[in-house]
Amino acid sequence: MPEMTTQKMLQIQAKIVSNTQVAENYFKMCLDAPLVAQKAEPGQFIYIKTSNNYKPLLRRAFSIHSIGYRLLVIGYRQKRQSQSQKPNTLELLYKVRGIGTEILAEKKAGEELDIIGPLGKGFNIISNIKYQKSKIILIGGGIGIAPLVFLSEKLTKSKIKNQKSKITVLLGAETKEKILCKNDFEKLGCEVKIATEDGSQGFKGKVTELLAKGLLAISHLPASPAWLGGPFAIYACGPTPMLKEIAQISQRNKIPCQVSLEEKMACGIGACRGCVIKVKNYKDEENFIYKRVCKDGPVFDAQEIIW
Amino acid sequence: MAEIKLSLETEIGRIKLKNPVMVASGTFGYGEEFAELVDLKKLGAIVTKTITLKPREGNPPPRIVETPCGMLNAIGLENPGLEDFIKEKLSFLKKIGVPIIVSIGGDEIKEFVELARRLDKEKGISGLELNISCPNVSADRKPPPKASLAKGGKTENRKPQLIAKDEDATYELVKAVRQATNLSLITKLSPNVADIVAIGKAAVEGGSDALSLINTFSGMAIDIETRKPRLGNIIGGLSGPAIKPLALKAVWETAQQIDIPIIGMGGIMNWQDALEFIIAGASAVAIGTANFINPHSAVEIAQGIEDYLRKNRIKSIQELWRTVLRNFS
Ligand SMILES: Cc1cc2nc3c(=O)[nH]c(=O)nc-3n(C[C@H](O)[C@H](O)[C@H](O)COP(=O)(O)OP(=O)(O)OC[C@H]3O[C@@H](n4cnc5c(N)ncnc54)[C@H](O)[C@@H]3O)c2cc1C
Ligand SMILES: Cc1cc2nc3c(=O)[nH]c(=O)nc-3n(C[C@H](O)[C@H](O)[C@H](O)COP(=O)(O)O)c2cc1C
Ligand code: FES
Repeated sequence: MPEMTTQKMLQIQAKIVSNTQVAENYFKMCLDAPLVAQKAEPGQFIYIKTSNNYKPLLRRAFSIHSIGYRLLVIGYRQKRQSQSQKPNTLELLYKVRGIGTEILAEKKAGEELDIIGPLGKGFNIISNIKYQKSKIILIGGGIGIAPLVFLSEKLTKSKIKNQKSKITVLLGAETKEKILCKNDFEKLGCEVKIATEDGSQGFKGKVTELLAKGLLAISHLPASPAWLGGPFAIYACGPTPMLKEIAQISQRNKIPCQVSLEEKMACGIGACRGCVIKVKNYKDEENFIYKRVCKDGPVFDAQEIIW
Repeated sequence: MAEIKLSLETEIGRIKLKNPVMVASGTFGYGEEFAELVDLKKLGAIVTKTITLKPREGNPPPRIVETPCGMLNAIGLENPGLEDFIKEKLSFLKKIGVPIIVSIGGDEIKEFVELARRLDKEKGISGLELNISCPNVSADRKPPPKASLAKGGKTENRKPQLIAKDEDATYELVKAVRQATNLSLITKLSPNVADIVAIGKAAVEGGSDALSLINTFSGMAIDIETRKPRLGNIIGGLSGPAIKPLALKAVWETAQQIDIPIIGMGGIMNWQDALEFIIAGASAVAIGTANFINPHSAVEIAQGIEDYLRKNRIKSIQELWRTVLRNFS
């Protein structure tokens, strides 16, 4: 296929730059994929063929965790891509769950992966221009933090200079060992709040409780707690029960909220209608419609979803 | 060694294909979804996702489960319906420049007839594939009166079932559609029947120009933690490499007894698989599940077949076609 700039998605062989374990069962993979990296938006995903036989048969979806600017070897001179230049790498953060991710974890730098991407509709950042002064809350549960690093990169970059960061990231995990990317968010200037179920770090309880508590506090106190000040927007990714709770909390508090969902996929590009979820039909309140996670999502307006 | 002049051309009814590799219904949307990734002009033909008279919302999710070397799907014929298909999908398909075969489905014969009549008026359609075999919708149809009377009226109080499971119903349906259109007709058979050849014969008698073999096998999967079925619809259709030997056998068996062209499909993942079907008696092949794993599958398979023919100094698909039968007799 000729290189066309109009192409929104590509199928390419991407070389693995690195693949390293970052915590028990969690890995970070860096792929050399300039054309995909340049088109990628936060919340989009890539679709990876993990195996060359039929085990597993289908591709696996992974959010784009970050895009990067890697050293390029041009002739015998090494040149560092400056930030003004175009990105050339994609980073993934993944959890080993089953056969596909086990195979990925075994991959070595230098090997190639067949990927399709960037796919899907990402987080809607543009609409946030009107929320420019607003507080933005990112909520990640478990591996759900993967797309939020890329999102905060974009959000902090699009912010007006000198304006103090108003991004707060709420991270939830079972225990402190499973809290990932805290440093990445802090480096970007985000404030990070942690909730662990066992109380080993930060708030003891679920991340949704941390959110609800914070929001309750503002409705009761004349002055909001330091980390919350309306108006704001919520972006969340994580297990479905968590997202459902966040949707309810944001609805009660009238906060715009976008969530990134998962569903089993076959084609990944909107053709088979295998990955649908139920959403409200605004034309016909009595009824619902199905939307595709791979094409109409994975990011949806939380209030649109029929949970 | 001099280059031989070889041809990949094949014919399905009155449809001329420049290569024998098409894409199977439901696995390639309406073409546009793959347009950014695949050079659509290189496909032998495109079979659309099955459309019905009225839009269908489809089955509740989950609709997909991966199984060893295969997958189950229970999409439930989600589609925009005839009118939106014509308005929104057909204009794109027409411009591609390869034969377009529209797959049509329904619960009753009159639905198929109406679809055929309406599509017959549209330009740019080469043929219709009759999806009488989707395992995910139950056909709550009335028994076809004439055929059943002729055979002794055995259809009374029959439970709703797939048209594809019933010879009489298949015959009646194909015949009725045949009268409604001049387009080439391909009847797609279900493997979930006692005797697929008998159903194929009924379709031939009804006036089908070709047969598609096969649709998916009915199957299911259960989550042992929750004890719930893994598909929202409980049952679904199995496709992919797991079904290839079964599909190949169905094609081979049918090709021995039926003389109209057969489009072979079921688990074709590469050119070697495709050649097995042609040797067994398929005039063309369709690629389904493989499109999900590699969107370029069909194009690469066509190239692989060409390379094989050249290497083996075989001049045409016809020269290879059904050769397994000749070797056996
Ligand atoms: C849009 C999208 C973005 C994603 N982004 C990421 C990401 O950035 N990082 C990451 O680690 N994972 C991500 N996932 C999930 C990832 O695709 C699955 O973890 C992966 O498919 C599991 O494959 P496997 O072969 O290892 O597991 P399998 O052998 O397929 O399954 C092993 C176990 O994991 C469960 N499982 C499988 N897939 C999922 C899923 N999609 N959601 C929940 N449980 C599942 C199965 O039910 C099973 O119990 C994303 C999924 C989607 C749809
Ligand atoms: C997700 C999916 C959707 C399908 N939808 C249809 C359909 O709408 N109409 C139809 O006739 N066959 C449909 N099929 C069946 C395929 O066209 C094909 O007959 C079957 O999958 C076997 O081929 P394969 O193993 O190469 O996929 C569908 C198959 C899959 C996997
Ligand atoms: S996976 Fe095929 S439409 Fe989403």
